[in-house]
Amino acid sequence: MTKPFTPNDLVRYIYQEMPEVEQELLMQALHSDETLMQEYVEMLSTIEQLDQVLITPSEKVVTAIKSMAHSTGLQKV
Amino acid sequence: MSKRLGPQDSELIAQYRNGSEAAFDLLVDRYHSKIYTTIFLIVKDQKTAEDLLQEVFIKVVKTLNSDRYNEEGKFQPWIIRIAHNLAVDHFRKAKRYPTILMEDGSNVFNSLQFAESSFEDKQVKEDTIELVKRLIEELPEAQKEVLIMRHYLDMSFQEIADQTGVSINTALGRMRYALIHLRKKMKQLNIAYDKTIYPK
Repeated sequence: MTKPFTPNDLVRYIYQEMPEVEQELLMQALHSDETLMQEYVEMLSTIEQLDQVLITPSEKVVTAIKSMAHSTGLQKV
Repeated sequence: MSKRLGPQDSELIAQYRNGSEAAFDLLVDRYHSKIYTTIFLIVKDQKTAEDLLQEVFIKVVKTLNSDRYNEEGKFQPWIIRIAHNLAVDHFRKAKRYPTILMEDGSNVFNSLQFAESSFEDKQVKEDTIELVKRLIEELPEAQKEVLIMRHYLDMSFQEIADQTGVSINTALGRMRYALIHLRKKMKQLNIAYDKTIYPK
């Protein structure tokens, strides 16, 4: 019998917070449940958009961070 | 979320502790965008986010120098936790999330960068990123908080539940509703979905 899965389980699966045994069962469920599969595909597609958003600080700040680390005298030469 | 090539964080830390400035530079290059993004999405202010970013790395350097760093915990979750705590502290001091503080309302978008910029549809991608970023900011606070903590801070749902004082199911539900909200808005705005998944 296929274990019933919820959309919350899909979130756990996508973010790899599901034990392997449960993952196997979920994959089986995805193949037999079109609604669950549709939900899964749409979540993945949305998350793909989130992955595109990356903001960077100014180069000045990055340089300052590196200079700070270099000037602390932490490094053993 | 993505596989990374190059030396492991632990190798870079060991090299840094043995005197390699280049190793620390690589760690900064590896994490500054991710950490800055997570901080910025919480504080919504470029200057504050940059100040907090520097504080994060100052704490990192001090800890590495004092030999209090424990590699068992892994570098990435550790530095992300520092960033999150600093951002939350800022939030508590400010009592609430500030409204958008950009002077001209647009300069922050100028700092957006792309993992790959060689595509001919760069303009379309820029527009999409701006929209997605705006949509994240428009989410209900509880949903936005979980989304940022899970997706950008890499916190587990259990950690999020502990941090926000809700059950893990509530945290999962908030994440799911955040994704549903985003999906609906994206569809309304006609943000491109993967055409292999959604063929015409």
